[in-house]
Amino acid sequence: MGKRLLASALFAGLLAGLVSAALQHWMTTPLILQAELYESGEMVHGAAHAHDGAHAHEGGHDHGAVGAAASGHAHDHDHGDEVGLTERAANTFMMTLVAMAGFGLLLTAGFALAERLGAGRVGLREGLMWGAAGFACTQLLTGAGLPPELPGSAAAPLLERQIWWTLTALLSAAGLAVLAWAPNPARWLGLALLALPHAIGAPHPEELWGGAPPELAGLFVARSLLIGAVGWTVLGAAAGWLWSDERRAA
Amino acid sequence: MQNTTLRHAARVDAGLVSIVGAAALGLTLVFFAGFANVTHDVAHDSRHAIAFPCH
Repeated sequence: MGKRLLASALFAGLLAGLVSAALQHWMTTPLILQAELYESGEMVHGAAHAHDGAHAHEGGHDHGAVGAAASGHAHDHDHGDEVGLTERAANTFMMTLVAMAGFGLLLTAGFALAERLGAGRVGLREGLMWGAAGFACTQLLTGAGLPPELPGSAAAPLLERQIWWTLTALLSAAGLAVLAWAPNPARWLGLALLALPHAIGAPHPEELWGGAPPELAGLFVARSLLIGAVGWTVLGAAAGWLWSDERRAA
Repeated sequence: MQNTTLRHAARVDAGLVSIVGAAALGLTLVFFAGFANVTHDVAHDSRHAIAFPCH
């Protein structure tokens, strides 16, 4: 059982991690690099607009304006410090793999526990539901208080945000479990657990002073959630499938 | 009878141990990827993209 648990979790984590990391490299990392130019003062919100447009058109890029600007800046960095950027991309790939492997282990431990407690067998379809729940707990519900942020955004002290994030992820998981499995009138308490961290409220700074344009921040939030949804879908489906397949063979 | 019970108990425990072990390992990996100060620099872009609190 231990081997099956580890194997399904780690293979699923690896697959979901590779998919997520590839999407991040394509869709969010260019936005992070661009935001760092605003963070360092190399570009200034407002003054930057005309420059961006000119840059994109001179380069002859025919994709969307923001994408063109983003890749233009990534190239600028490439010329300056190619090794640094490659190493940075490798680090991002590695840490996203580590995160997804960790989430995969938690998900699969959840499968095993639920089966022991008589909640029914987990296969691909159930795995998809678990993946959706994982996405809700670690991205959607946490993101409703602390949205994905570009570097240089205004934010409350790190520790306070980490505590709120952890509390929200745990309460959301508990809330979804109660909604799914508690007997009938009590199950609605799950909604209260889901709402509690938002009633308490996420820590936010008193003043907002983020340097990056809101257009960039909005794009980053949407892309980050999209990648999270894809990653957790792959993770849940793969973990559920591997778990059930190995179970049948055993 | 007693033997069967004992064997059953041992199997139940082994199952629980692997569940707890997997969950603990999972939490450790998530902690290093998302929260630990020592991994901040390598994990920076990944943390921002996954929406772990960063900076």
